Amino acid sequence: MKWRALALLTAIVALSGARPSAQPPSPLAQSMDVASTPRSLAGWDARVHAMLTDGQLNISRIQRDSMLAGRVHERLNQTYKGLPVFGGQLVRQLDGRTLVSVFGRFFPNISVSTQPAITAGAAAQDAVTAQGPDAVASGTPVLGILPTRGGGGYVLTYRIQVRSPTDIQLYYVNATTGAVVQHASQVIHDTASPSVGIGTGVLGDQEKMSVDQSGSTYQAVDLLRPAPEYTLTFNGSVSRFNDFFTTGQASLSDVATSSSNTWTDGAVVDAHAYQGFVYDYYYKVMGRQGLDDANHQVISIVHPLARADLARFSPDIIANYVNNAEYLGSGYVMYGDGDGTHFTYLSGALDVVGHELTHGVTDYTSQLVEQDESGALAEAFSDIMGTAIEFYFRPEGTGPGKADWVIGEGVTLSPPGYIRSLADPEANGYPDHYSLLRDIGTNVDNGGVHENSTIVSHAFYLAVHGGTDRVSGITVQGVGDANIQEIAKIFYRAFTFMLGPDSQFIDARNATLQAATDLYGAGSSQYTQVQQAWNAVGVQ
Amino acid sequence: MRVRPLVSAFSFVFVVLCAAGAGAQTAPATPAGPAPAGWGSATVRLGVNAGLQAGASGFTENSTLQIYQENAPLTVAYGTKSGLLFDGSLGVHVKGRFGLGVAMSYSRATLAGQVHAGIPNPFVFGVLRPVDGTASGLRRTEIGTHLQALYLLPMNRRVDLMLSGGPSILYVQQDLVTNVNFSQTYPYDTATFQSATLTRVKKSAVGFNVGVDLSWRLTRRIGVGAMVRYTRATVSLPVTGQPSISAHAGGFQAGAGLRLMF
Repeated sequence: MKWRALALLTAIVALSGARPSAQPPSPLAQSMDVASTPRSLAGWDARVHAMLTDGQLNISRIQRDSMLAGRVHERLNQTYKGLPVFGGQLVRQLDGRTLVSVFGRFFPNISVSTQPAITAGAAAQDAVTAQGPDAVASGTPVLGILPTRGGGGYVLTYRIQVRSPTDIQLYYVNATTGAVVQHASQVIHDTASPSVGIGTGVLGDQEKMSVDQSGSTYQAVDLLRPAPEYTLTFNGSVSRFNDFFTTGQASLSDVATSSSNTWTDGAVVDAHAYQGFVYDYYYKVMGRQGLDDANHQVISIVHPLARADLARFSPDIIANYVNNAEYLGSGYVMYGDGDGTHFTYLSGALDVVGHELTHGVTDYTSQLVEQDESGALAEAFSDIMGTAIEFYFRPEGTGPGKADWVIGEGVTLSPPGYIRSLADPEANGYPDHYSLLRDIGTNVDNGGVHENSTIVSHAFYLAVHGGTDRVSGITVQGVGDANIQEIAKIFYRAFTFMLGPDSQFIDARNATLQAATDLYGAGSSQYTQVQQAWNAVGVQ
Repeated sequence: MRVRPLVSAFSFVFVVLCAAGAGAQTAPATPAGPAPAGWGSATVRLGVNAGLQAGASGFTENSTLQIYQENAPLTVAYGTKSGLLFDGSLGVHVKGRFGLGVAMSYSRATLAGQVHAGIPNPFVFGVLRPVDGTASGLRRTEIGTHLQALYLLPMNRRVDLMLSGGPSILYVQQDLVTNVNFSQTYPYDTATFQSATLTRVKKSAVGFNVGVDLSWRLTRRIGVGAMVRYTRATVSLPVTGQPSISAHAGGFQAGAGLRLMF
């Protein structure tokens, strides 16, 4: 059972999602029908209004619609007797005062005491103890209602962030017993597998860097873009690495510098240049101003650990912080050096940088939970946008420096030379059809978030490039690679404006169709290609 | 400071004039009233003129700036404009109708240049943003030293026509556009011309001059006259770090003024 099994709405919009390919049209699909029918939407409009009035929903954020004038998207957080219901959120799209669509998840029939038996401090200590030596609680514990995974009901919990020298974990501690209910890492790793390719590294091309000159020293601080963007280097210092994870603090002394404005550290150059490209892409194509649409800072960290010290590190550390890149929250991104065998400096791939920073966009929009299907959606969205970014800045072709349909081709040294393929996921062992969904509900890859992401990203590929899904045999014409940004806008709109923390694949399908309707019309070619692409990968 | 060469030139002419005048005082006394046209008894003729110089043909500057770690092409089309002319001349009789002379001219004009530049994008290579504008207030100063062979052709008792020609040394001061100031805002897809950075360069070159001077004696030693001269030289204006710019100096000079004969 998944969270979604508890996720029920009303008869009008019921957002529970059974496995799409194995079920008749889901209630959510009905909600999409309702969303396209103003008469049906009216009832749902009244229901949301009633829940806002009685306090079951609170407006947490109003996002301007950067793609359609006059539209706004309201994020409505679910509460129970004044406490947040973790993961409960609806997103409604308004055109003026007219309801256009509603997506999200609402947890019904909550009946728990809201009086904790233990203090927040005691709960934090329980979480720290569970995490192990050198862990510390960070921030203020949040008391709220947690819908339990597995459908066991609801638990009054404290949500606590715990930092350790190599991780950032989010704990939910039972506010009555002090037991850890669940926890998960907040560090979003990119590559789940050390597979494999061949590349030439990050030093093959020249990039411009927007830097800050301070006296005779140049600093990797971007002063030309509206959002502050920094590139830091830990220079492989383990103590600096541990200190950062423990305190969550970066220092200006870590900012990469150069005695001349000719920079030679490829990891710094690419991290710095590419994070700027990502900002530019979101600004120019999506009308978005940074990760939070308010020019939140971006801080890239390179050389977190040194290749020369590989022998000192555990396989987990190497997998996560050497052969990997990760979004750490609050605009921090870390790029490993690669071990030189499987990967080289991961900041050298524009699509990888785009992928990681898109996690930041997700963090400030849908907040997709990095677990099971919602996590796979987050990973897919990052791959999709990383690819779209690459197509925006690079000529189409094959290999590093070219726009293609694989991720990380420039930094993967061992076969097949990339991390994931949107065009042919199966070639690298990833599923390309919903019937092949795997590891859901397990701790493997947080429920297969990277593995299953290719089902969604393959749908994006089919909608753009066209092709035939290997499993279903369904052929999609596609809008053509030259029009990739049309489909990217659809996915961006759906993922940032319409999805919520616990959205499932079927939600993504319906949201993208709504977005296609918003942007191009229900009878448009773009709508048809997206619809057929979802059909082809079995999400329907 | 800029008029100092002009002052020097006219000081030189004045000294020559005084010397010639002193020499003339040693000459035998002549009857009252205008002397016959031509060199006659006069061995030295002086002239001062004010007038205009029509600038030589415009020129084009093609240079390359370094902006955002990339080459930025810069083209400036400098126009022409007439400028004020001050001129002084000294002629000495040699034999028959022939003589030798030297003239100095000073002209100054303020030009405009049409600026076109490609400003590189600050983030990516190979994306130039065109900017166009006008650089005004470009000062051009020319001081010419004209060595002349003279041929005096009497028209009647009062009117002479002096033909002249010879080599010239033209000293040019020219304001050149050496950088472009532009405004831009994120995402820097376009840039807008704001102003030009000017640098004054100096260069001399050897050319030639040909001219005609028509004088009318009012008295035996004093008259008025008008002159037309064409002078030209090609100068290579130096620009630091760039190829020199080839430009023509001189042009048509026309003026009128006082004539003295000793």
